[in-house]
Amino acid sequence: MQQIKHWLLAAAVGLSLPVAATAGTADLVKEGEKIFTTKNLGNCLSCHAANGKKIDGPGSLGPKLTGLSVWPKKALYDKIYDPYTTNPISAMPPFGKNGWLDDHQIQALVAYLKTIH
Amino acid sequence: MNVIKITVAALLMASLASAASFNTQAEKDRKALIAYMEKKFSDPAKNKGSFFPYSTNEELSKRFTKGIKRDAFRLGSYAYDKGGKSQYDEVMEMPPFEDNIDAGKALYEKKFANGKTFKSCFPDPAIAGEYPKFDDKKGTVVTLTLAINECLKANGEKPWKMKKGKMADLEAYFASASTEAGKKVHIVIQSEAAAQAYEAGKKAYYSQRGYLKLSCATCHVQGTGKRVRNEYMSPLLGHTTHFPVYRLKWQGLGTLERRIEGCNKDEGEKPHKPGSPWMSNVLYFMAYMSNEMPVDGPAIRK
Amino acid sequence: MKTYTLTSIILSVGLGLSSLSAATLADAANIDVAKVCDVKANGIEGVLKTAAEYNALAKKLGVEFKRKGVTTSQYITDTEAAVKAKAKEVTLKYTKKGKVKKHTFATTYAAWRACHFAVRAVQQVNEAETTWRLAVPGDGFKF
Repeated sequence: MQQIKHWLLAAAVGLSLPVAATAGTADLVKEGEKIFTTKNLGNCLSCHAANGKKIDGPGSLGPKLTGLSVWPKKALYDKIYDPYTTNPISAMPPFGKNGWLDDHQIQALVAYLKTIH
Repeated sequence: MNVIKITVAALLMASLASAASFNTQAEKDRKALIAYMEKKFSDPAKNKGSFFPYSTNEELSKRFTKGIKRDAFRLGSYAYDKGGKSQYDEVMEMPPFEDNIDAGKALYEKKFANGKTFKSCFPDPAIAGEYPKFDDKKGTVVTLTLAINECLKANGEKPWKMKKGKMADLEAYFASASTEAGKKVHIVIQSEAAAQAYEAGKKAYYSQRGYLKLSCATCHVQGTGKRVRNEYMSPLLGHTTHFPVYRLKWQGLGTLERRIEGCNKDEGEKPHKPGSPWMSNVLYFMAYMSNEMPVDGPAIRK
Repeated sequence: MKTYTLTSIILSVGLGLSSLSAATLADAANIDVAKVCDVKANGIEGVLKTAAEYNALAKKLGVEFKRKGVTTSQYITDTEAAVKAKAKEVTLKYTKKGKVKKHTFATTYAAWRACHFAVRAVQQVNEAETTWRLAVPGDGFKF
């Protein structure tokens, strides 16, 4: 746990440079939000609450998502692509690996997750 | 010659000795499952760290019932969800399946073309807790649904569809008769082949499947008491005690087979057919986990 | 460029072998699903061929995937038909509560999904061999 905290802190420092938001990323964030909240797309809210976001009836199977804005994009991408690298009986589906969300969809989702503080 | 006799005698004794122990592993599994569920729900708020890491403190301390013992788990998630339980109690005052039980009783007594009735196969209707059984002659698991269809076929009648309709109605009558008679779930593993069917069902239950890569256990063992959206997930322990079930989602009654098909869909796997070895083995395993619990059907679920 | 060449050699060898024989559980354990199902690298026909091979095995094992009313088999046949018709999109029809419904995807997307579904269904059988007991209370699952 301690290690994770250190790592997150390092990531936060590394990523603290402000990135100019372009119209493209705004669209991507919007698309990602739709994936997060739509049952027929990612349906992330069925297990996860998200800090600072108004979400109708999030589930409690997965953790409330907090501070993802400091996560490196790749770490978020990998977690969505295949979360089974740590816990082999995790309840989280391997969205990318199992052909549920494609590369573009995961990138959109990552863009949205980066807005969760 | 003597050697043969001795060998035969030794083999016979060996088989007699192990006859009582074909359920050794299943008993171990059942007791461990009970221990897990009872520990998890002994004090949900206190157990947050080990069992409910992502639940809210409020639901654990206020919404959940504490200190639940084995038999109470037959209520499914209503065993621990106080809000759900009060709604359940209200609906059960005038349950929507009363007509189904009556229809089932009529089917039980109705004469086949050959003049016989279901009584010829099931002299006592209070048998819901005894199925599935393992049939050593056939070498397969026989669920209550399959036994009913076998009875129909043996009497020259057409078998019924296995998920709802007449099948669910007759099973509702059997369940109701069993509940009224105070019957308990009594599943027997009497042979090596039966133990193998149990093990196959257990492995299927715990194997991750479908594009969601979920096992049945993800939601109904480890996931018990956690929420998908606003819905609390129910426990494996006691799952088979109260079927057939009237589901609000179905607006009607359905058999265990129908419900498991729904779970397969939720896992993202093409559902296994009612009556398939996969389905029957899983039900055999599930029912064994509820051994000794009171039969409590039919029931209502969301 | 070097990596690309190497990948394509591995892929063509892999595809060459699998075209000679039906896919097996052992084959599935050793392939990288992202690579064999990459439409750009293998072409849409190649990806659909891999999908068909692995889905045949998935069906035999009783683990075929199904998403929102559509099985992997239907993804494969409908996408194959779309490729033949040179259609950019594929419409997958299914019935829910007696009503006909449909999903429409880009043909490349449907092929990508069909392939991932087929290969992963089989790979998960291998994975479950070593993970299922980890979820059993009193066995691999400690509490």
